[in-house]
Amino acid sequence: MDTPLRPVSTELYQPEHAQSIERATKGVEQAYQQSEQIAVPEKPSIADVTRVQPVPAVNPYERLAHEIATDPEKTAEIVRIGQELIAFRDHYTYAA
Amino acid sequence: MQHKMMNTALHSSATPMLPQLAAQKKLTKLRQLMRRESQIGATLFGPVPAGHQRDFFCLDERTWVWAERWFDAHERVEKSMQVQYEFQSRGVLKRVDGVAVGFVKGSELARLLEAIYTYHHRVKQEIYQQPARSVA
Repeated sequence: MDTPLRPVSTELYQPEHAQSIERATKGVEQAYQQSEQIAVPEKPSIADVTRVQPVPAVNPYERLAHEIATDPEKTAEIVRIGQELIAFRDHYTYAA
Repeated sequence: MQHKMMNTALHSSATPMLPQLAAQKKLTKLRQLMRRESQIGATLFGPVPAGHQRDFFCLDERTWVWAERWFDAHERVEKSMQVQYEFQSRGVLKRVDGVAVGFVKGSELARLLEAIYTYHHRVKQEIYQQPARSVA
C-alpha cells in the first residue's frame, strides 16, 4: 500500500526569511566583486627568476669586528683563554 | 729564662716573616712565568725593530697588554707605549697609555685575536707542557 504524498509544510516559512536570503545573496555578490578587484602580481619572467642577485662584499675584518661586538660567545672564548692561563700561573706559582 | 725570652723573640719575628717570604717567592715565580709568556707573545707581531723591547701578555681574564720601549736617538730619550685591550660585552676597548681610544676594528682586531690564539697555543705547550687543545 502506497502512502499518499503529503504537501510540503510551509508552516516554518515566514515572509522576513525572503529578506535575509536576499541580503545573504547580495553579500556573496559583493564579496565576489571585491575579489575581482584584488591586484594579482604579474608572473615573473624567467630572466627575473634566473638573475643572480649580487652578494654584498663583506670585508672579513669588518665581519670579525661585527662578530666580536655582537657575539658574546666570541668574547667569552677569549675570556676562557685568559681564565685558563691564569689558572696555569696560579698552579705553577703555588706549587713553587 | 733568658733562653725562653730569646726563643719567644725568635718565633715572634720569624713567624710573620715566613708568610712574607713565601708570598715574595710566589710573586717572583709569577713574574717569571709572565715574563716567559711575554717573550713568546713578543714574537707574535713580527720582528721587533732593533733597539726596541716588546711585551705582549695576558694581564687578567679580560685584559691583554702590548707594550714597547725604545730609545729615541733623535731626542736622546727612552720612550714607551702601552696598549691595553679590554674584552667587554660591547667589543674590545683599546687604551693607549691609559687613555681609551675606541673599540678595535678591522685588521687590528683580526691580528689581535690571531695573536691571542697563537699565544694560548704556544704558552700551553712550551711553558705549561699542556696539550694545546682549544678551551672553547
